Amino acid sequence: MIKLLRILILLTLPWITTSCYDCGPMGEPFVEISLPQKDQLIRISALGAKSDSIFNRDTMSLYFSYSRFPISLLQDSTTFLFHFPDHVDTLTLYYQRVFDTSKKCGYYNDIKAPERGPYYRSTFPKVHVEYHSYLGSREPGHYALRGIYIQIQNQ
Amino acid sequence: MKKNIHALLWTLLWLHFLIGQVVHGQVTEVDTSSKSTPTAPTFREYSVGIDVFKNIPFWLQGNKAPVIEYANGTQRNRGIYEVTFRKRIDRYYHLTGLLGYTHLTINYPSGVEEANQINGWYLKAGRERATGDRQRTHFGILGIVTFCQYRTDLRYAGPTYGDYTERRLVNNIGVGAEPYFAFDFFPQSRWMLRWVTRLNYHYRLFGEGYTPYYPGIGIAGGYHFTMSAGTSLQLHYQFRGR
Repeated sequence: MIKLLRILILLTLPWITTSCYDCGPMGEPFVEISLPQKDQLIRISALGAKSDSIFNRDTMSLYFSYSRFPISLLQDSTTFLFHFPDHVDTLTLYYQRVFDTSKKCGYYNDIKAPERGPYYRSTFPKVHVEYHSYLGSREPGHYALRGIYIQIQNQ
Repeated sequence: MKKNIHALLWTLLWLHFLIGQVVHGQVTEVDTSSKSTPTAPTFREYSVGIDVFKNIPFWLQGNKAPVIEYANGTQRNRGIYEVTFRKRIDRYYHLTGLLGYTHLTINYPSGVEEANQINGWYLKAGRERATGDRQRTHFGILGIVTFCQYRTDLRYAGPTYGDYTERRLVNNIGVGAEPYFAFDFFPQSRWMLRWVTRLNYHYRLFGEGYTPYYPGIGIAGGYHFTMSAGTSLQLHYQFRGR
């Protein structure tokens, strides 16, 4: 009887697991864009967006160097329009969508750099794009950049 | 909540073992008082049974039940159908086999997974040993082979550009082991009622995604390795064969 009880306790032990992991956006991901001449900008919009309000909510604040914009889950590119008083600049970002499942996160989505072709097309003279995974460990000491960072330079 | 469920499972696991001990105690007393008529118990060789309990709590809850591991999930339209077969090998041992089919849907009001439609077949086979004077308590172990299909509707919310939706069809194949206790009511008669409590250990060999309900295993939280426990009633028809 005691032997049986011991066996049962041993069999029931592996019930507990713990984890500390960032599973990404689970929906529309955001990219970080740093803009020059933010003060001259009138508004920002994106092709295919249902509403432009999200682009103008925090963009106009001059305190942060980066602004967060959503990118489309329906296609492998998103085009942003930057409306200035005398002209409109465009930036098309190319990427690769990942929809997958894993033990840590269940079903998740992520964004990767495109396998071939350019990372972007733009009327801005100089753009720098960095791709990082949206997923990763959240433990202290494992600090890493998440998501896509776009730096637009005017010269 | 989870603590209570675990406590309940533990109680159920041990309850009929304890009942078995009590019944055996009474039987030995009766036997010592009437030594003059030693009756050898007559056993039937075969029995075929069906599960008569697993669907009842589900129907009583109005054709729905929560998925415990995922806070918001709801099971609907669940049906569990199991046929059991037993054959006596000798005085103590039986061969047992079980074929089962389960279908259900699981809906989530929020999150990436909107709905799962699940169909699964499972085969269990093994043997059991009888204990006690009247051999009403059995413990046994079954090997499990499972196949189940998850049809999962995914919706990644896109408030700005539109939602991304996808339907995934995942076939899961797995193997496992099931140690169990069984307690027989009316073991000598043609119709026998059998109370079975089980522990399940299951490992998925092929397939992906979480399986909040795995046919043949039950509500299971793990990814590839899952474990579960349960209790149920089976109605057996016993016959001698040949």
